[in-house]
Amino acid sequence: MQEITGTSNRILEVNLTKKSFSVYEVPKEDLKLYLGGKGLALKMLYDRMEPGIDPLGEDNMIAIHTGVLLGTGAPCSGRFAAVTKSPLTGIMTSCSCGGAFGMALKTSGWDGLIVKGKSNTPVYLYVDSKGVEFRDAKKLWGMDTQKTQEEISKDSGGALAIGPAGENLVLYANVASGHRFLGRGGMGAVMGSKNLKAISAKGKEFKILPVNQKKFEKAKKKATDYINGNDISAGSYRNFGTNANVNLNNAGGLLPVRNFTGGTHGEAHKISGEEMAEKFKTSYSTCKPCTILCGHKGNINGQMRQIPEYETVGLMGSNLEIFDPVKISDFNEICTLMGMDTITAGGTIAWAMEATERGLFKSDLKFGSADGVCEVLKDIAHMKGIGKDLAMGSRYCSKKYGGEDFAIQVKGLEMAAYDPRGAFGQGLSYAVANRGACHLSATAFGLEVYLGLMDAYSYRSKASMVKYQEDIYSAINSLQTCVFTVFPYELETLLMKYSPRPVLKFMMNLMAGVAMRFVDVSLWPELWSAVIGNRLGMTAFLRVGARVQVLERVMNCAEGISRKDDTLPDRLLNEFRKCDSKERAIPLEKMLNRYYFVRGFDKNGIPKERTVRRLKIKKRMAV
Amino acid sequence: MEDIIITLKLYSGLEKELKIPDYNVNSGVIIKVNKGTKLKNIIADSGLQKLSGYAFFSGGERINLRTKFMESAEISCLKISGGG
Repeated sequence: MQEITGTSNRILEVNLTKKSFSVYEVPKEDLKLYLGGKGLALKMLYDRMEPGIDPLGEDNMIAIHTGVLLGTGAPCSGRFAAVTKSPLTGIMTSCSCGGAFGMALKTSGWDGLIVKGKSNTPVYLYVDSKGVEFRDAKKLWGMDTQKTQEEISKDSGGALAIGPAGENLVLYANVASGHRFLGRGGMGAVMGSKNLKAISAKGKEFKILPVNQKKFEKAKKKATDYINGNDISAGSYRNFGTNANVNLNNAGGLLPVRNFTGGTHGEAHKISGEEMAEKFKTSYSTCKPCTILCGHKGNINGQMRQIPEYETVGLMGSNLEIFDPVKISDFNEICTLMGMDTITAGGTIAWAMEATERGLFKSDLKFGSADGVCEVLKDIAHMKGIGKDLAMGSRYCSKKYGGEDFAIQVKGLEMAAYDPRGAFGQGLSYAVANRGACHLSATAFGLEVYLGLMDAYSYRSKASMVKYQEDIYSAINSLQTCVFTVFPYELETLLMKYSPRPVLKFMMNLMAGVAMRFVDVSLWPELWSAVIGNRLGMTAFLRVGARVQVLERVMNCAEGISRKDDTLPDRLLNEFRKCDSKERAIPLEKMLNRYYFVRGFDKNGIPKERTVRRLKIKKRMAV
Repeated sequence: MEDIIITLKLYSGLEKELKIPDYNVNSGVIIKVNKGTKLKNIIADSGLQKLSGYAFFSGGERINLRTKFMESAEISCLKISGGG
């Protein structure tokens, strides 16, 4: 087997219209400024795509980048990133994904792939070290995501595939890599619009070696020890998967109930990770390599299925007032096979249930009943009946039928399963997240409710905390590794582990911006440095995160995004919940003003010229 | 001194770690305490000191070991997680 030391730096540029490909060598300066993964994928689209293009048109592109850690054996590095312009939101969307495809692409000798143009007939791409083959996909068209992968993985190490939802241009269709997904923003519809059914990669042609093996092994050991010693990574996630959040969010008033009208429910424990682990006799089913092991499968009604993730359980369970784990698993299974984002599907169905109840929309859907939900999900995937409207998401439906105040979305993206009325910083995080109401841009609820290090109902220090989290998550997604490493890699460091809790809490509540500077985030840059051979310090690492975050904002502003879009649904700003001990309103404007200040944006939320210059974001290169 | 009823609900498999026989998640552990008792005293008096390192919530909000209870309440005790 041939060896690649460090990174190949080679990207395949595929033109579906011309059925041709070329090789792009990533400039060394870009590698240093953007690291890889999300950062480099975003930068490549910034240089290649004009603002204002139709997300489902020929000019939209998909950039996939594996990052430098994949293939080295670094803990939790079985991830890759993809970026495109979202048909659901009309702005940039970026996703991180596990599954076998990333490893197969990387070990075929490629760091990434840019897909542009449109094929006139259904095709799939076969990638090996020599380049790309354009293969006929007519026989695959109509197949579900899992069957498609089985069909084309016979001569490859991993594949990406869309299901019927992507083919039919459902605006929140996703892309499967094994049982993991490029989930949010409709990347599946972008592939479908290009007549691109799948991408497979041969893999196992190259071995990836770090430049500094000794330094890498040392950092890897430290990382593994941190993960295995941490209560979150080696406890809750490993034992109960992400569903460990159900009981926690129910206790903390964060659980979405009945289209975000409540934050707790007496039956929530029935759909918790603890309950599912026992009931379905779960075992691990994770990304590779993974040390945390949060992905689980189990025996559900005689079938081995992937256990639904927390977001699915929150949005398709408690948010619909359905507390039957088997039914939720059925919904999850349909979305998996059809290739649809469960968060947006759940959020849109919740809107439909409430709109039906209020007489605004005609359907048989009702809260508390699973009847008809499976059929509606299939209709969405095939664009039939009411599924035609629901396939466009809750923003579209509420504009057409009314009920915008209870369409729980930001910038067109449905909200993840944490009600921000139980954690005000999370409200800011949702309002300013680049891809819409995303929970993976900054997980403020973690510090506010789970760890209890910040007052959940105060605006104080939240802007600095959200900025810090956005930066670190963007940097982690550019390495690329799993964002769940943030808990062991930060919390197991000396300062966080041994500082008295009241001191940490005092610092975080009064001056989070200062406190965060003392957090040891050295492990991630240590791993990157060992693989590449160039030094990357903690400050430079966080600076990369800020650069990626602001670059994405610059691209979104070019699409018309500004302060008016950095908001929350009316329900979350103006309606109070029965579960709260007193009536409180999320002080969004106060937090927003401060956030723009710490980010270096003007009052309208546009990045200032000097901010862009300071972060070395250059003018578009028009490659 | 007036008594109040505290219902302690355990999650994250804590009931198994503490080997509480016949634990029922619907009813939890019922503890009778004096009005004004602090959480740390409630868990100490009920012999569940091992719980003091975990997260406690009541009324949909996070509470700490110094929280005093003036009326009957339900308390949830869990191990923390990290998001989904």
